[in-house]
Formats: sequence, C-alpha cells, structure tokens
Amino acid sequence: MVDYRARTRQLDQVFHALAHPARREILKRIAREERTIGELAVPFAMSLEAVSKHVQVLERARLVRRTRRGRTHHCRLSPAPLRDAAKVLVELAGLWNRRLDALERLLDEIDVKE
Amino acid sequence: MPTLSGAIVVRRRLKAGRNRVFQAWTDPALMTRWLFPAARWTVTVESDLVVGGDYRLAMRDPDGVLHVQFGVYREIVPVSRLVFTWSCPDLAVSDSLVTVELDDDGGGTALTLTHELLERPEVRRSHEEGWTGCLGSLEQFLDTPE
Repeated sequence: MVDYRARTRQLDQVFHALAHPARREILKRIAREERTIGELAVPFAMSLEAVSKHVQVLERARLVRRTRRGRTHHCRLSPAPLRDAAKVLVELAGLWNRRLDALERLLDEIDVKE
Repeated sequence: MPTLSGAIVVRRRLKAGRNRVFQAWTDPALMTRWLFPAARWTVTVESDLVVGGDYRLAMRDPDGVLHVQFGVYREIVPVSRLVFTWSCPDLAVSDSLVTVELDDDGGGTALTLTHELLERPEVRRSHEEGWTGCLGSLEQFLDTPE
C-alpha cells in the first residue's frame, strides 16, 4: 500500500511537472545535452529564480538531475519517470479499448435478441 | 492518444443508439457484462448513480485475485454525458477523471472517452490551449541516452 501511494504521488508529480509549457521546453533542451540554469534562462523572458523554480519542480518529479560544480548548477534529463508515465497511459488506453470491444459485442448481442 | 499532460482520448463508433449505450454504462446488470478485462474474469458492480454517488468494480481474475476500481460520479446527463473519478490501485492511479460523451452518429453513437490522470486546473487550461504533444514527442525524450 505504501508502494502504491508512493507510485501514485510520483506519477502525479510527473504529470504536474509536464503540465507547464516552460517545463516541457526545459526538458526538451536538456534532453540532448546538459545545461546550466543560466543557459536555460536565455530563451525565456524569465529570471534565473523563476527558471530555478521550474527546475525544482522537475527535480521533485525526478525528471532532472542537478549537479553543482563550483557556483554553477548543471541540469540533465533523467528519462525513467517519463517512461513510467507513458507506460501507465498506454495501459489505460489498452484497458479502455478492450472494454469498448466488449461493449460493442454486448450491444450486438442485445440487438440480436430483440 | 496519450498526451504529455497525462490524458488519453479513445473514440468509438457504435451501431447502437445513445439510449442503449448510456444504459450499458449505467445499469449494473449490463455493466457486469462488459467492464471486465478478459475472459474468465468475474466482476461485481456496486453503483449509486447520483452526482456524488460512489461506484465500485470488484473483479476477480482466473486465479481468484481481487482487483478493484472505484470512484465517484461527478456529472450524469442521461444519454449524452457521464463524468466520474477513477482510482485503480493496480495501476497506481488515484482520483483520475473519466469523461464519456455520446453523440448521434447516423443511426448509431459516436463515443468519446477522455481519461485525465491529473484533475488540475492547469492541465485543463493546457488542453484548452490546444496543446497536442503526444506520445511521439515523448519518444523523442525517451530516445536520448540515460
């Protein structure tokens, strides 16, 4: 049960993190190479603090790994939580598709009887 | 199609009319006949079909293991719209939101099912803005080496 709650919270944090366009943009930009907070701030009309807050949300969702070298913070994508989130969505799509197949068969059956 | 904002949309055209389809979604006697994952599973349905009412699906797999899904009805508009929360411990999903919409389609019914994992205003907004990032863009992220 603890595991269930932890996984639920983790999923929640991932989708919460992905819900903001700036955070999605940050993920895209660190997907290919590591970047500093300063580099991430450049294309946004945003302060370093604001970018840093977005990075914190991504870190809580374990989507970003931040390492400190001297005074600079470097951010890297950590894609595993994205895979987990995608997996749940794919499972849900499968579940509803199988159910709707069964619904279709049931409706045909009822139709024949009447 | 799964989206990065945590929603899937499934669409179906059904030959039956909206009355019949809505009945299949809401009448426990009919619900038990299709709301199960596979052959040889059994399902019991408890449903209090009022806004704020609970429902609970208890499904037993062929090995006798119990799987539950449960939630609360949020909107009930006969023969056109049904909205309910959906929790499933097996999938670690809690309080997600399912919206089923039924529209006339010739003599049949066009069914649209939207399942949102996050019931948050900002998610709704991002849907309204027409953001359509899908699994394709997710795969771009996933292709990058860890």
